[in-house]
Amino acid sequence: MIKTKDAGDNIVVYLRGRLDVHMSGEIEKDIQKLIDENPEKSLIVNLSEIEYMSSSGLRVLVAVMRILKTNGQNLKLCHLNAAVKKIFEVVELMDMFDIYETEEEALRT
Amino acid sequence: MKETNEFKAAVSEIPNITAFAERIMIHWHLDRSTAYDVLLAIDEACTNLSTHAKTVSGEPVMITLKMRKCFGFLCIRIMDNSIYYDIEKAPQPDIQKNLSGEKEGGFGIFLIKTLMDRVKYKRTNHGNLLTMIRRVR
Repeated sequence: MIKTKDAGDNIVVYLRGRLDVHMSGEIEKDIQKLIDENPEKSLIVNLSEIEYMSSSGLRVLVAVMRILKTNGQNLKLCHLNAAVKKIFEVVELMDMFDIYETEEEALRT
Repeated sequence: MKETNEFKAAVSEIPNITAFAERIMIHWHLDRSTAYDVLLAIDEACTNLSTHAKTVSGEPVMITLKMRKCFGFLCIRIMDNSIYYDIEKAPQPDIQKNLSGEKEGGFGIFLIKTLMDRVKYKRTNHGNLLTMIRRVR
């Protein structure tokens, strides 16, 4: 379901397609498994191939951030398209997440 | 083009519901940003029904989606046969409680109210009627 890339202290997670209620449960399970297997790593979620996201997707990202923070790790998001960015803005979550334009920038910071 | 359709209120039906709405909006040549907002509002309303709604008799909850465009407005009607639930009375999402894990979600109704120009709820003889209005170019 999810594609990943090991990048030192981080794992880059590539999500694609629709992040709606239909898909979010499966994606949440996959990410949870990834965190359980790599508790010492932070995650960078690359959203460049997400064509659609509803509040169900948002809920998953909030849950992932919470789990990582509990483990002392971080969640960074990158490559948000205009539609996805708008959802974050509407629910006023932009400041709560570490959001980067590109994956390179997220890896550098 | 068919502008009304009935769906079972189920998570697995959400992609079909949004695909139906998307086809209509493509047919109407709605701009991408407006179409996305409308799609999201429909998705959120139907997701709520699919995950929370129940009928008194235990029979499946059915959703009828009706879309109309006239005089520069898009009117979306979502009818269902479930137990009374007034979307207008839903509380604001609590971001801090979401971040602490005390509460999950609650963003859907807030998104609907923010993205649409007008949201109306009415209890009918058959169930609930949610009307969402969005100004279009």
